[in-house]
Order: sequence, then structure tokens, then C-alpha cells
Amino acid sequence: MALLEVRGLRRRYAEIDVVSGLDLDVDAGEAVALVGSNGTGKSTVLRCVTGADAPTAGTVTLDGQPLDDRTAAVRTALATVMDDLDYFPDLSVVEHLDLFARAHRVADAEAVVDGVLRDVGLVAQAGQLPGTLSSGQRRRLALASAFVRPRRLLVLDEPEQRLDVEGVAWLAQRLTREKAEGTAILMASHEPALVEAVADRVHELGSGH
Amino acid sequence: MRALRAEIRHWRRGRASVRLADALQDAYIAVFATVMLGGMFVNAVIQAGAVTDELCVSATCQDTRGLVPWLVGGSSLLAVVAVARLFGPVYVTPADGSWLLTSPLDRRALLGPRLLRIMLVAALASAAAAAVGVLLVGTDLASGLGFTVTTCLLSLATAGACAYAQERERRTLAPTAQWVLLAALWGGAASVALDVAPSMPVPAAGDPLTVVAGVVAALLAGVAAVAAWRHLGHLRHRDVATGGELSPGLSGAFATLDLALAYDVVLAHRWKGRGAVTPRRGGPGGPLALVQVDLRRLRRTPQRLVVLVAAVVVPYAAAAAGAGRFVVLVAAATGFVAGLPLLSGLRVMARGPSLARAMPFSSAAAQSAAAAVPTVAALAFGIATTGAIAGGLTTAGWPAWVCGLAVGASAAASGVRWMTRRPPDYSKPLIATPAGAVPTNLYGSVIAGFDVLLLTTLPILLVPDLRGAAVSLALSAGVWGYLVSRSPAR
Repeated sequence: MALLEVRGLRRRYAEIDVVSGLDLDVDAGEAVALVGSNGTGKSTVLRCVTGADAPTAGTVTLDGQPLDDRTAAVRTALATVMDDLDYFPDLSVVEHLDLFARAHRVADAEAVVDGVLRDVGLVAQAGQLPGTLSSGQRRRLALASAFVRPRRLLVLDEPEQRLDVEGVAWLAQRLTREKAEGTAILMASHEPALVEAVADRVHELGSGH
Repeated sequence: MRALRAEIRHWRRGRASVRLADALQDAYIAVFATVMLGGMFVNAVIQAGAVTDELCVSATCQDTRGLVPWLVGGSSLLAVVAVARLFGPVYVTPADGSWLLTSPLDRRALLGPRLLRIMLVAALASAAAAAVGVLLVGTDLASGLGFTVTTCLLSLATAGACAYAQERERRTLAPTAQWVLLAALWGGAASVALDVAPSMPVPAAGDPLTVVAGVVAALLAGVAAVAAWRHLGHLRHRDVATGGELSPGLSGAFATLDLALAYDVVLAHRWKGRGAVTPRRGGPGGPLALVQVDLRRLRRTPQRLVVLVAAVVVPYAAAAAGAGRFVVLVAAATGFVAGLPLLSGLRVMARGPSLARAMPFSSAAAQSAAAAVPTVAALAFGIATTGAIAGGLTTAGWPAWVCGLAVGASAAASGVRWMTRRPPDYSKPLIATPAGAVPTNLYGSVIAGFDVLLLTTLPILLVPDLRGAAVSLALSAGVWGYLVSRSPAR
């Protein structure tokens, strides 16, 4: 049994099937990439998988249990980096990460946060407020917020967005390490280099699929 | 600058996007609406003045009433400083900033008309406020006019001084003025509360004091205007651009009547201006981490707590002025408004689902944790107003304490309602109105907070004893619980 199982997923908006009959498995330590042109439903699939959107039909299970994002187990296992992470305007970069780590009761939170800060390259911005970060730095902060907490499944929606070339290369390395540590990854991406470096399987979504 | 304006006139020639007839029609509607609504408002103020004339007969009440124009005038000056600090006051739009400020134009000529507009708006707003103040106390026309003109001149001076202080090196002037005005207003309210309010009716038109005050105010306005104008050329791009970045966001928020969005825009602008903070880390885990973050916020910006504590004087002043059982409404409304800045954490948590979803506990737990500190502060505020409420309701002992607690709970529930309200949803069915199509939840969004305030204070207003307080407390607790358990807006 795969860690994440998607069966017959269908999402219909008005009269249009954005996703219809999608089957997908992601095992622990495995990365699956969703690719396809704009509007083929990649983000919709991820939103249904994370519980941010309700599928019209089909099932999503995590560890064989229906994925219910209201349960503490799912919230602890599932780390997401979508395009909509909000920030507290009055908390600095490191305070955000510290808050996420402590909310998840991460042991030795300070060391974990420092490690992630170094890894994402935001050490110099630790005391800065989110409003002063560049869009690329904000993306790194969103990624850091996922890496600073416990996770078994990482769901990433175009994680390469707004990252420079070096940033994409770093991300590929980091996600490869995540896989090696047993984290399952489901990501949507338009970056062939990232998909090639990280994904074990590629699922191409076509129009209306 | 002159050549540029001539060039712009040349471009515009033959490219009018509005016909003259349409412009005249719009102007007619605007003038008609202003006159009609203004007339209704002035009539309401005069009626309110007449009612207080009948009710306010004691010497204490008369003295308190005499302070109203001073408090209203002072508040208008405080508002001028606050708005001036927010926007600059002199600011340029992002387009002007990138096109005009980067060119070798005379900056004084470019910014001069804007300064003039700002000073005029400030003067008109303060004049309107002062006029309301004197109308409320029924001052005679000549004295009222003198007071209004003096306030208007002081407002000009204030706006000019803020513009003079806009350069980064003189930024302490406006905040100092703001705190001094706030302290003066607080002192006025405290004197009423302690029943030591000086008898300060608006001086008569022929009184030497009025003449001297008018001349001094005119001199101050002139000096401030000249100083501000002379220093316009020294303003740097960064001095005038930040206010311009704020205006599109606020315009959008007000255009959709989304006041919470306006709050977000102001908050983000303010913290972006600060740039960085000294990070503080460590502490408890789970939902308590959010509580501790709120406590750190208080330490980082204690002014918010100072304002709430200082606001305790308002219900006492209302009680001393003879507001009776309406002290309850005044106290809850004061706690609600003064407590809003404490709820910034809840606002961020509730305005979208992403942050709550990143937490390992339910949205309800996350929002409850984010509302915990402000709620405790509001309850403490309510308890601190017990003396005023006891005087207004003529209760004593522990029933009065329960009333105070109920007032605090009402303020907390109203604040949470204000922060967690849904924005107007323009994707839902719209209602056709004379003002155009509006979403069904628009009006609910505008009155959010005040609806809960009325609902939760009504039981004490109707039954001003322990029973009313108990019902009010239960209502507030129910509303609070319901609101924090709702999913964040999508």
C-alpha cells in the first residue's frame, strides 16, 4: 500500500471537468511530478490532495485512511508549499520558522531552525520582516517553513517559482535529500531540470484529464 | 515643470474620455448628494444638541459638555497628525515616483500643489469636526465660527508642520506631536472622570482670548506652510514614495468597503517601513506558541496596550457626565475599538487558510490561541471599568464586577467579529441598488463588530443587573466560540 493513494479523482467546476478519473500513488521516499501545460489541473490535484479543495468524486488516502486535513495526524504528516502562504507582517523570518517548529513541537527547535535557515540561504535575512523580502526570498521562506517541521509527504506546487538558477539547483539537491530520508514528494512543476533531477515518476496531465 | 504641464495639456487635447454633459451630470449628483446628506447630518447634530440641552442640567454635566468642542477639535488635530504620518503627508503615486521624480524637474514645483491640497483637506476636515463640536453644545454663531476658524488654522499649521517634518532626519517631530495631543486629550477625559474638569466654554467671539488664539493660529499656519513649502525641494524619493505605495491598496480596500483589508494594508505598510526586528526565539510548543508570539508582540509594540489601558478613562468620563446605563455601551465600544490593534495576529490567521493549515492543530485551536491574549486584555479592560459601570447602573459588589466582565467579553467578541469577518464577495449574486450592484454580504461586512457589540450589550441595557450581565456574558462567549471555530476565509 502506497503512502498516498489517489483513486478516480474528479474535480468539476461549473460544466468543466478540470480533472477526471485521476489515479496516482506515491510511496515513502518516492517523488512524483505532475507536469502539463497551464490549466491542465495540476494545482487542482494538489489542492484536492491537501484538502484545500473538495473533489467532485474519487478518494484520497494517506496510509490507507481517508485524508482528512482536520486531523492532527494528517496535519503533522503533510507539509505543503503552495502559492498562498500568508505571513505575519510583524514577525521576522527566523521568528516565523521558530513559530512553525514550536507549534509542531520539534525537538531542539533552535538547532533545526538554524540548520534550515542556512540551507535555504536566509541567514542574513533572519531578522528581516517578510514585507521587505524579495519574491525569491519569500519563496525560500515558504520552502523553509515546510522543511522546519515534521513531514512524511511533501506537496509542492511549482516550488521553483521565482527561484534563480542556483536556487533551482539547490532545491533539486534538497528534495533529493528529502527522498533519501524517506519523505514522499508530490509536486507540480514547469521546470524540466528539477523534474529530471528529483522525480522518480512523471505524471503528465492533459487538457480535461 | 511648466513645459511638462503644457505638454500634458497638448496630449490630452482631443482625447477626452468623458463628455462635458456627463461630467456636469456627475458633478450635479455629487453636489446634490453632499448637500442632502450634509443637511441630514447637520440636522441630526442640532437635534442631538437640543436633546442634551434638556438632559444636561447639572453643573458637572454642563462643565463636561463645555469640553466637547475642545475634545472634538483636539481629536481632529490628532487625526490630521496620524493620517499625515501614514501617508507622508506629501506623497506621489508609484507612476509619478518612477516617471517624474527620476527626472530633473523642480521638485518643489511638482510637490507644491499636492501640499496645498493636503493642507486644504486637513483644514476642511478639522473645520467640519469643530463645527460639529460647537453645534453639539449649542454655542452662538459668532463664537462657534471663531472656534471653528481657529481650529481650521491650527489644522493647517499641523499639516504644514508634518510636511516640514517629513524629511527622514526630522521624523521625531510628528510622533512627538501625536503623543502630546493624545496625552492632552486623555488629560481632558481624565479630568471629566475625576470630576475636576475645568469650566471651559468656547470663548465669545469678541473675547481677547479668541482674537489672540486666532492670530497665533494664523501665524503658526503661515510659518508652517512656508517652512513646508521651502523644504519640499529637499524631500527625497524615499520620503514621498512610501505613502504613494499605500494609497492604491487603501483605495482598493475602501472601494470595496473592506475595512479589514484596509487594516491589513496599513499594518503591512507600517511593518515594512520598520524593516527588521531583533528576533526572539524559544518558548512553549503547540498552540501556546501562538499565545507566546502575541505576548512578544505586546513587548515589541507596547503602545497598543498603553492605548487600551488609557482608554479605561473614557467610560469613567461618560459615567461622570451622567451617561447612566449607556456607560455599558460606551465602555464596550471603547474596549472594542481600543482593543483592535491587539488582534493583528488573529487577523492574519483568519484572513486566509494557509497559516492555519500549516499548524498541526485545528483551525479553531489556532484561532483561539491567536485570540487568547487580546481576549484576556479585553476582559481586564472590562473589569477595570467596573467602577464606571457600577455608577452608571447603580449596582455594587460582585454583580458590578460581573457587569464589568460582561463588558470586557462584549468588547472581545466584537473585536473577534471585526477581525474574522468575511470580505464582500463579488462572485456571489449581486443586488441592484441606486449605487450600483453590491454583494449580499456587503452591509454585513461594514457593520461587523458593531452588530455583536449591540447584541451583547443589549441584555445589560435592558436589564441592568446581574441577570442582564449573565445573559450578555453567555452571548459573548457563544459568539466568540462560534467565530474562532469557523474556518478561515478562502
